Amino acid sequence: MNKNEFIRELSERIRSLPQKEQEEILSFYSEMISERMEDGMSEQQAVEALGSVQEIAEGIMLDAPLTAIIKEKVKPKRELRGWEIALIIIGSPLWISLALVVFALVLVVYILLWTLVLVMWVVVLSFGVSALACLLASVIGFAQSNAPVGLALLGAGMLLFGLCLYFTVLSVLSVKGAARLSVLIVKGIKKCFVKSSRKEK
Amino acid sequence: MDIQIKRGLLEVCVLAAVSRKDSYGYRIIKDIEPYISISESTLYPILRRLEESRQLSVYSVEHNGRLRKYYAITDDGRSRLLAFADEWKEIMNIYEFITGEVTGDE
Repeated sequence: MNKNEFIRELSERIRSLPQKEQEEILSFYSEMISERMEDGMSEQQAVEALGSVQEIAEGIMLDAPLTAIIKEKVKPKRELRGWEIALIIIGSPLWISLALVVFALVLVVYILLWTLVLVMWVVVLSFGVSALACLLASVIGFAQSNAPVGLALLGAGMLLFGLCLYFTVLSVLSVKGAARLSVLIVKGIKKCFVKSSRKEK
Repeated sequence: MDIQIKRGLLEVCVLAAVSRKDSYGYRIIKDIEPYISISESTLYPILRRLEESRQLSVYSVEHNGRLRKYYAITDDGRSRLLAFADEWKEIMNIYEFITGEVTGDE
């Protein structure tokens, strides 16, 4: 494979990316080939040293936003025939609803995940507020020289404050966990698309 | 090398490779290669990330009738390198902890 073939094939495979990004990627790889040739390699060797176009393109697409990947995957490889278009339209009640279900399922998983996180923070907030209330009440208790009640409320306030701190730590961890899980889910969906397009060819 | 550790190290290595003198893609690879294996396809996203987070700046220079992209470190990039050097002490402590476990001496 020579330089032109390599660049053409790479550009073919990353067509769904924004124009500017395509240009940057192509100029990066073409620069790399030129550098290797100036370094004494033949054109052939310089291209081979980069590795397979397919793997390079796959790596780039995995980094790309999900919408670009789906566009690339859904885009027909050739002009659609009349009857195919008719079939797509006739079948639309079926495939649109199926697509909606898949989308809704992913959305539900997301909402559940972040609802859990929200619940944690509500717990933190309620502990915090009740701790504050107890401490305030204990001050009033002491002010009215009712020491036992004041002391009991002070203890309860401290306990609640401790719980509040403890759950804050847990909540921070849960936010981090949920964020990581979200990233993994998006990555998983991307992999489905990028890998399945590889098998086809 | 563990892939997570490598990913973090590579970014810092690229910063280090341009810290003394502005450099270009192929030379960055050649400079880093003796220490840690890196390919074009790994370098590209790293350069992009560092550029987007303003740790590197980019300019083009004409070379042999074509444009060659040069990368220069920014102040943010330099402070990242310094921060990494500081963290290294912590990492060495962890290293001692781990090797202590492996060889079993207390």
